[in-house]
Amino acid sequence: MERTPTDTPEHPVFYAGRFSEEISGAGLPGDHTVLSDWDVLPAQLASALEPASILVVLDIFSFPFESLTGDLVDVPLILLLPTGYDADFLVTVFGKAAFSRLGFFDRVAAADDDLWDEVRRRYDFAQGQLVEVEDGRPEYAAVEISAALEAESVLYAPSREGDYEANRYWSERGDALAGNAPHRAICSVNHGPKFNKAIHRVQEKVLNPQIAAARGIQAEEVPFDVLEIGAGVGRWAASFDPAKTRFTGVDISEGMVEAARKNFPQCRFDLLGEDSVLPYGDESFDLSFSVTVMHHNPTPTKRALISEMWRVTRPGGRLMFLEDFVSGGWFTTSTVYPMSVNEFVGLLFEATAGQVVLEHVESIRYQHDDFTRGGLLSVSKLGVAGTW
Amino acid sequence: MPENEFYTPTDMDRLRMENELLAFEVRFLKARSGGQPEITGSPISLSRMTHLEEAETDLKLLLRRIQNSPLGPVARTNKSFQTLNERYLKQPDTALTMAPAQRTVYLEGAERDLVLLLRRLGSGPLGLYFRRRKSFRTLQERYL
Amino acid sequence: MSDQLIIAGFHRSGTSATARLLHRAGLFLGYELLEALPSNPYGHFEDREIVNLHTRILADNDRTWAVDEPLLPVVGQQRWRLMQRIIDRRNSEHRLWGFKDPRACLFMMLWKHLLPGAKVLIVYRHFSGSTYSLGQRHSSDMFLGKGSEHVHRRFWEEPDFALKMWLVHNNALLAFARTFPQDTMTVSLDMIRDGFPLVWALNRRWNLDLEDVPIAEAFDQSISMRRIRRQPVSDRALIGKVRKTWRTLERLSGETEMLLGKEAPVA
Repeated sequence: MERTPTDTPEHPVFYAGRFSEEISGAGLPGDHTVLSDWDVLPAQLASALEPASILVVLDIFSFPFESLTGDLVDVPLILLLPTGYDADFLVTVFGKAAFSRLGFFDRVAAADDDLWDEVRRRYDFAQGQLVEVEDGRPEYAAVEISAALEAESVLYAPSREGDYEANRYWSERGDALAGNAPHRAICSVNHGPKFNKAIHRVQEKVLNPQIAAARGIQAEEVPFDVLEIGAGVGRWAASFDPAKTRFTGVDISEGMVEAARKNFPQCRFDLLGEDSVLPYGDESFDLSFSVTVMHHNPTPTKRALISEMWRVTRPGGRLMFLEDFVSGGWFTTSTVYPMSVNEFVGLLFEATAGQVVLEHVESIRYQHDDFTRGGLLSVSKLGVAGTW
Repeated sequence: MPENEFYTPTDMDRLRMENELLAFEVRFLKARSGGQPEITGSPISLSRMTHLEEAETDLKLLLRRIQNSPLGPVARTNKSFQTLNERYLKQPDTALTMAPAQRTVYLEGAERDLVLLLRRLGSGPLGLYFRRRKSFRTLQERYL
Repeated sequence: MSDQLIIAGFHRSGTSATARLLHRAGLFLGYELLEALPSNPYGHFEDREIVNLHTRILADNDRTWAVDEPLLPVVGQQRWRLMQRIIDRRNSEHRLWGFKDPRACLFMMLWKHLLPGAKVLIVYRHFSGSTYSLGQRHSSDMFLGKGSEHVHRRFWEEPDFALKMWLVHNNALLAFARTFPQDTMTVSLDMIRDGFPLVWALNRRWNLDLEDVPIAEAFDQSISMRRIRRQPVSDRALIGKVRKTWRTLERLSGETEMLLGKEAPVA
């Protein structure tokens, strides 16, 4: 669906349910909307959520989660865990309807650390998906959540000394956002959380089947070694089954690496040096991939990164690139080096000496943008294994 | 229908990039489906067209060789051979002036005629004679 | 244990004559060597099975043999199995075997994947010679109504088509040479015409045990066209790339001469 800019900017929407009187009287700061249980009847839900940048569900008992379908799933959620209930009960009642539909861009607000730990463990949530609140009662939690969202929404202004220089820009940006809003470091810092979740969902729909295809050629009991270049806060680690995968991510930003380690302590995250040399041995991974990283870097860096990815991937393993292959880069603050798919294939040839075959190509269309097109390219590495 | 369903690409580079991406994806999909664009109305692929053109050329070559061989006089009395001669050797330029759709039909006919001819020659009383010839076996391998 | 020697070079670069020479020297090149048919005019010494395989992979990827941009191929399981069958039969029946097919330039890494020990002889020619020869051949074939009109047309309708083909094929060969320098020997057509002892060099380098055959038996030196022409080009951005590729090829053949020069028998 084509979205045209509206006059009303997006803002947090709070679903107060049975507590709408208390929430309305709580004096929440900033722009917001408060919805009662009448406002979320199926016929009204879509229009009620139209201005939502985030939906904060303060009363999970009365919210119609099953009505969140279609475009409404793009709205990031924050679910407040009610006090006085244990994890078993909440999981039994809300597991299927609510918790299992939460993705990396959705969060949980909880006053009880133990409750959070239990829910987090059961659903493999990242630590960064927690919104800490002191008081779990809806009217007090709402104020705390609102303040936290306000703090996160401060615009990030990159230092513009000189021209865009990829390594410096992305490490500065990552470090700046890592402290209070690491989620915003993903996708686009100039757009709201809904934009970023929507982009992620489009990418996920294309990437997950290819990850499964790459995994599929391997025996079940053999761990799947995966490497992501430009892993950020680790959003893609959530797409892999931790029981069967050894996930490693590298990033140029120290802040992002730290945030990723907190999010996924069972995974490995390393800092990537400016020389683009990956700190891993040859043929260490079954799958190496990057998501919207290459198109932010100049050609020599692209070539170096691809070459390194090839080096550390096992023969028969996959290299995957989910990048923009139709883009502009025409405005002065652009961080994009436009490259067409043919140019990228040429680069892939140079960097791998042609020792790859094509496994999958898929173009990606983003709803918000007429011109930008992404694409997923998946190749297999040729060659005989050098190490056992 | 959404209000803003049209857009005009103003940047030629982006148009080129979009064309490249879509062409790349279509080629991959064809390769994955076995390269068989059997859907009615879909344009014939370049590789298929090349194959058909080569079949026509090889058919003409085969007919000429038969004509110029010791079997020529006998072949010329055969009605089927006369038909093929008429269609492919006596009017060589007609095909070049045909409209694309017509030309495709003509070339597909040439491929079928070549296959029939190879089968008949390979299995008839003179089958042994033909199958001894390397070029005949090459054609058999390619088209049968 | 079998050895394999692949003769790899762009179209019209002297690979046929090289194949003729090595064939006489005892290199098995295939069970059914094609003759030149109108649909495969450069078919000398090309093995039918190998050409069919390459043609099928190209067709799978919606290409003909006339490839002018880097090809990242889809290779289905059937094609891999066919390659393996081809290899197994030859390995079981021949101590030393190989093949010649310019299409192989685009698939060197596939063959190396299945034949880690294969050796490759790269034969190259100046781009102006190859492109001129291609253009000449396709114009006469188009005029005579031979072969595929579609392919002929490309040489005239698409600017720099033959030059881009030369670039893509030779860059693929250079990528192979860069990756497997110990398994590659690079020679130019001119070198062989000038009497470079190719068979001796191959035997010296890789112990192939080929019979020494005089060059004159394979190369008609009286009709050799050595003149380098000026290369027409529309997109001047190609010039730097072509020059770089040419220089690298020359450097590699220079290394071949140096490596074997001192010990080479006098022609």
